[in-house]
Amino acid sequence: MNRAVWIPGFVLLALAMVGNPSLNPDAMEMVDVGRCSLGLAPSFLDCASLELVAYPPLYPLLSGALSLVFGPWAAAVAVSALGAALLALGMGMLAGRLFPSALPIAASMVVLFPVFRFYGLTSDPRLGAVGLMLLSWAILLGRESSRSRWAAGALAGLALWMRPEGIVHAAVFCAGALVLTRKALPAILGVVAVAGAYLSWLALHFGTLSLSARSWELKGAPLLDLFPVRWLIHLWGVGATATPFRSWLQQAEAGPAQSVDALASLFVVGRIFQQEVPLWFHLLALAGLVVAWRNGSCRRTLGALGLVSAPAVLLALAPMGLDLGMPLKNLLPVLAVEALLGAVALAAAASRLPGRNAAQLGPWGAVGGLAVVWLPQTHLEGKFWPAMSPEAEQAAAWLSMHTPEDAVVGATFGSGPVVRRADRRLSVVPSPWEMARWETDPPHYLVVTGIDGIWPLRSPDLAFLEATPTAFFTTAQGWAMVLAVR
Amino acid sequence: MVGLLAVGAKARARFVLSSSDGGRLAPGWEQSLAHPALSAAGRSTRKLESISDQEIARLSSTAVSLPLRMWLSPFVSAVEGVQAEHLDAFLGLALDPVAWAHLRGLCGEGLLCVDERAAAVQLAVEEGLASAMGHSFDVPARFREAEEDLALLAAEVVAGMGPRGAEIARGVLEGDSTTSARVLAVYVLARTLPRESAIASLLDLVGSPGALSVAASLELAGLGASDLVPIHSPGESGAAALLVRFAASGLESSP
Repeated sequence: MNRAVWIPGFVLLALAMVGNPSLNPDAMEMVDVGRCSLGLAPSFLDCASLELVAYPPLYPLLSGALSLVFGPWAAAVAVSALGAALLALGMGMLAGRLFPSALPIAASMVVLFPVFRFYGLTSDPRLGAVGLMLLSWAILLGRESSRSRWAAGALAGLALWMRPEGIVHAAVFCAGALVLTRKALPAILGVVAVAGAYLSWLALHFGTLSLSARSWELKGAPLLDLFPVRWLIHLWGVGATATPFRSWLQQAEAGPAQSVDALASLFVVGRIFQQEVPLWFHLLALAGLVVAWRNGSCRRTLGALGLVSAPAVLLALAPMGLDLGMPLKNLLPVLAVEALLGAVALAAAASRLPGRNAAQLGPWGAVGGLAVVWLPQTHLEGKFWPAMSPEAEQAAAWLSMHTPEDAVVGATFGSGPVVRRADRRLSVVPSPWEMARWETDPPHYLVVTGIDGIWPLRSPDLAFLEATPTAFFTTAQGWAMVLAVR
Repeated sequence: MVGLLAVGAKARARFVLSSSDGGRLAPGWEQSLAHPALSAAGRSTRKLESISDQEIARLSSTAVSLPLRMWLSPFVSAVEGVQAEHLDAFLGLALDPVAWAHLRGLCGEGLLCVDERAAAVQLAVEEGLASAMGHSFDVPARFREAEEDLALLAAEVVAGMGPRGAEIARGVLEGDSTTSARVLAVYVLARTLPRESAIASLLDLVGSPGALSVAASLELAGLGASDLVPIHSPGESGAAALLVRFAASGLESSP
């Protein structure tokens, strides 16, 4: 642990230097939920329209509190960067157990590998959740005292406060602790105390036992066989903005379990890894696995790594477990384990270098090599991401300069960051069947970006809006348009 | 879930803009470009009349999303006299009423101005659109987002065709199309028929089994006729039945 104490500071500093921070639409809602929960909401924010339990509370509360210091958007990014620092700490500590000199390489990978860098700076809680998972195992396997084991369990339970799938990790952690350690009781008690507190809060809110605040999404899964996914997103909404049909689903009885084509799902997972991650990264991880396996004394650590990555693959079999728009986001635990093993392989290779100082300098040479390869790359190469694109920034600046402070600006949830960056009130585009809401209460402006495509511009549903294109910003990457509504 | 929105976004952006030349708007948007804010932003603005036929064709070709263009190409290429190099122009024009009407107004001679051929192309495109509305449904529901974009875009294009769109939708409903294509046809009908006719057509579909009744119920609610939605639709259970009841309630928030 002491050898790893420098990691969080290093990661935060490095991310601040190399990163390109951006807003994730979900994070906008989470910061607002945090601000409303803590009583820090500005006047234009309609707290009554927010569903305060829609997200696990850790990210909203942390970002809401930090918004007092940094402002809302920087706070959202700061919390996800803190999550990246946690991940680096967990990866570094576990890699150090497998091969001591792998520690700095594993920690550096969080800054260098484009996928981790992206999620660390895109106001997303996922890296923090994976970091808590790895850290809980690192402490459980590395420390013998009951207090440490309890702390490890508490961290595993805290993953549920960060992401809904933390419930699976907490359960797997308890089972794994029983198998991989001798005195598992303190760890299990830690999980029960922390995860149980959250589940109790949910039960109090819903009036019934509930394992997730997003259970309504699973209840609506059978509709995937009837309707296009986009329509369903419209109907039950994304983010915490309360939508009527979500309330209906929330109170529905859980239906029968959906049949899942496991083979097809696993095939898609394999295809995602093949298309989104270079082959040499997988080979490096495989080499690291061989090195650690031959080491012999680290079987428990390897078992823990399996218990971190396997649930992520299993969750891909759930109806909402895969997001083909951002395919790696739910598979980050597997990538973290692969990166960790890759670091082991590189450290083992560096240790074989000849020379007096090779043992000390070798790992840092590997870090330098990774930096040369990975730093020029971005995770979303060639993809349009309005939350971080220059034209969306320009549109936000235009809105902020040319529209009154009390203006209501319509946008889809995906283009919402443009409106929120301008600190204007966002009115999310209703579903095609609920457009009457806008007929009686239209927004003053409409923002459309490349992520929306032409739907808001050509839809017959929006024909009643007399919207005049007023400002238009474009680069080769994408575009953003502001329309004034008469 | 938000990442779902990113699927196909880049391709769809092409429908409106050609970004390669710094962001020119597609035909139909030329008036809007004259806005002072855009001029101030340094965008070049020109009236459509000053643009040549070739340029219109080129712009129109960028006005169709790449997946839809690829889908429709075989239909158009089957039309006699349409050369491969003109495919994109034909498709763009056939799908863009503003550019099409303008070009027909300018017509004197040339490939794009032969009435019979234009009608044949239009028919081929309509056939392709109806077919595209049924695309993607041999794929398991969870994996079909990207393919679905094509079907949704085709439905949007057909919904923008007015009465002719309604005829295409009726053809889909009456033929042996997939259920999902028929669901999209319901969406199109509700947006292309006059309100009273749309309600009458939707009421006929409310009694259908499966997704059609749910789609028709939602459309009735969207047209403000939720009182006509029968709360207990045949063959519906679970989330689908809940959706019908939601429509019958007038899309309100309290179950």
